[in-house]
Amino acid sequence: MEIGFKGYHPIANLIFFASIVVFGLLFKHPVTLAVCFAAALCYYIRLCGRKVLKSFLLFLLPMLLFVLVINGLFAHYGTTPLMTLPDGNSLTFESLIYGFVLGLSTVTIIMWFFCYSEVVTADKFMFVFGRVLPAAALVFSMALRFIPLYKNRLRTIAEAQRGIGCDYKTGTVKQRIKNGGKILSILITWSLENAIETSDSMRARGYGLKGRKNYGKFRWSTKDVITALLMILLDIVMLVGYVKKSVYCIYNPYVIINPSADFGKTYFVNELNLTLNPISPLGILTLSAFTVLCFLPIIIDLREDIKWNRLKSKI
Amino acid sequence: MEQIKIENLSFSYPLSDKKAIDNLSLSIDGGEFILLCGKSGCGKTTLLRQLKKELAPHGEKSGKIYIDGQKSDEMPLRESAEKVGFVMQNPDLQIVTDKVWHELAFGLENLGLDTAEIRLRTAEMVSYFGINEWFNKKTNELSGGQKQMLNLASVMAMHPDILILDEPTSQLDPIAAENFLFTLSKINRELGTTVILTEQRLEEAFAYADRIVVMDNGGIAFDGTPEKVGEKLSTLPTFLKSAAPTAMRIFNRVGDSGVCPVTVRDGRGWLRGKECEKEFIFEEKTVSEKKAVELKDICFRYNKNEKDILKNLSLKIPEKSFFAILGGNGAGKTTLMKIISSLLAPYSGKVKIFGQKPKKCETKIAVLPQDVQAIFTEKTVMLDLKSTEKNEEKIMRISKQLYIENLLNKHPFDLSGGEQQRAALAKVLLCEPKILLFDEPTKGMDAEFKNVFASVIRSLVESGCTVIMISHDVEFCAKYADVCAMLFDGEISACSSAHSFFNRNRFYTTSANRMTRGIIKNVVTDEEICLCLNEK
Repeated sequence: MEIGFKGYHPIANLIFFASIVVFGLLFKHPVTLAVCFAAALCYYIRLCGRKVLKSFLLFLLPMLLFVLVINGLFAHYGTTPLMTLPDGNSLTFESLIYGFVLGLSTVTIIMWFFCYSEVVTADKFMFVFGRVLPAAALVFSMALRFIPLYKNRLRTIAEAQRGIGCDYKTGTVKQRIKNGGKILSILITWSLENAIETSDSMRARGYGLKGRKNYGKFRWSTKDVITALLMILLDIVMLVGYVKKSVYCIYNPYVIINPSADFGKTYFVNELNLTLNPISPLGILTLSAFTVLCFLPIIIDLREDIKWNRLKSKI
Repeated sequence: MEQIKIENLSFSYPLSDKKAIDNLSLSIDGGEFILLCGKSGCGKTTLLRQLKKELAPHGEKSGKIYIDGQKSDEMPLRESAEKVGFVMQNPDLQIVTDKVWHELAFGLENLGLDTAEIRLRTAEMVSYFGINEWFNKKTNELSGGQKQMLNLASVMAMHPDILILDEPTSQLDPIAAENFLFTLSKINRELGTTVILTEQRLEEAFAYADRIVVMDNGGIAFDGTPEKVGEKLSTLPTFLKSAAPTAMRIFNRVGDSGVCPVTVRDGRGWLRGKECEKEFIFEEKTVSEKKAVELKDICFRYNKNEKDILKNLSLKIPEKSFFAILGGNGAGKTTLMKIISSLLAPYSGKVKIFGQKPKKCETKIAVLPQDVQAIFTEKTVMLDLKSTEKNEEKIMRISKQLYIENLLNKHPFDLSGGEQQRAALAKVLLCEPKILLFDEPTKGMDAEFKNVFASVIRSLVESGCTVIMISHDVEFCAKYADVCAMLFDGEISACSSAHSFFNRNRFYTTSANRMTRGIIKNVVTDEEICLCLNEK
């Protein structure tokens, strides 16, 4: 049995990742970016442990810098020049900021995808997929079965051919290609021949009868339902917040954070053409909803950990 | 009660004059355990397939088959899928999905059962067949024995009344095969499911069956209890004389009358009542002093982080001998063979072929793999043989020796298992190897062809070839090999002449040896028992 959020129903898992990706891409607010990044990093560490450090330093950080530099050097929108580049164009404050925003959200989404592949295993994916497209799901499952089988068979054939002196690893290029071609041709003939037996086995077990159903071994429990409903509720709040433009930001031609409002105090940084409007109550609600959603799996996991430790200390 | 009734069934394949099944009548009661035997190509598989509507081959058919009083061709597909379970030979090819749990559910999904029912049935199957430990595994991670058990379980999940099995254990090692047959008899006893089984390995299957049906040339040559087979053995088709259980064969060769022993236990009881020599005097055959293959302190592992498959293994294989390497599953037999044939290189230790390093060595080493299909490349057997050897005279000579002259114009994949093996052997022999390696060659071979195969090996050895064979087949090695070695846990744990090798073992030895232990000393094969009995 899987622990924490990983052990939840596949549909609950999928709702989470779908919401994160959709709203992570829709919102460009600095707070959402920071929260989303922090949550992704925490959950990624929680799932993969020390491996994360390596992938972060070698892949994610360079990626972030790369996007930042490319955007800064080649996108020349914005109205606030910081310096002049050798090609005569100017490096603007807006393009740097937007490059950072772009880089950060890319890195964040990639981290969520890493988490996704840990949480939504092939089994779970097949379960959801099988509801929508049962026939395709079976084909997919068969492909997962036959790819390793054929790989194995290819090795068997290559070794058998070497055993009788038809080596694809030695000899002239022409001979090697010829021997390699032979191996492939055997693989095809052999596999087609064997496929007959597999289809016999399928028919013998009633494949092709009307009313085939897809069996999934996952069951809804109360906690899955509650979590799924909570996520849907958060989604609705965020959607309203998005439609009402409560956490609206623009980075071009100059940076404006939050929509202009007739309450509170607005800050300007004149040298950078930066406007910082006060945030509305709906904006606060939206940001909170987003924060809760992002940290949901970590909260679930930590709660379970704490429960365990308490139980352990009682023993 | 009569569950299956076959009336005057005849069947011939399209484009064939010969009838595969010829006017056959048979009736089977519910709950019987029937062993159907016959040499390969006698129509066993054709008959079994006729009982399952979905699998019945096309061809000309006359006569009738009733299952529970209903004509089999008129049976609705759904009923046929549920009622008649079918397990085939190759464990790998019958598995459809990637996960064990999904495979168990596959048939039930097809029947359109609801989730709760499927959950219940798979849970039942898992505990009945002891699948718990590998329930969440991928199907390609299983061993052959587990795969076949999974196939049986996923058929049984559909709750069939009749279970048909076409040589289900032919691809398994002896322990997995024994385990499989035991499970079958458990199903038969505990659930009352009718079992119809065909087998090459009759030694074990005879002990479980209630009734033996012997087929010959598309008809039934005999039908009765196992004991009756023993009494009538001399009048039955010849293949049975080499395929029947040891006790039965000896009983028959000695020409005794009375109740025929079936198992080793019966055989011992029967032998005790006989007068015979107390010891067999055996002359050891001498083998050449010169070594064909020398391995010294071989260590091998597939990956740096894995444990060693072979650990400081040393082995000397004498020239011009028939050398057998035995051992359980995962002992490293196949790895060892790949090292001898230099498909793999050890990370430490020395390999010498005729005293030379394998890379410098000009000696031809050929390998006949377990899956012989892997070596055919051309459209017909003849073209295939020509691709290795241009000289037609030579091809004809070898074809004659292996009885494949009439198969030369067929596609290699159209041949039966035994024929494929012969054609593959011909191809390997055309390479004129000095050292010939066989990986489990007797797997799925019928008893009669084993004799032919042994004589081919004999003549190869006599012509100066060194034959090395990896095998699970204790009886074959005892009868024909010169030297046997036991591989266990990556080391050679015993190596001596075949006779003393099996004489020293107590469990891992031939039935003849087990039968005579404590009664006649020093006996390993049937012949030796007969010699001891006849001299009195």
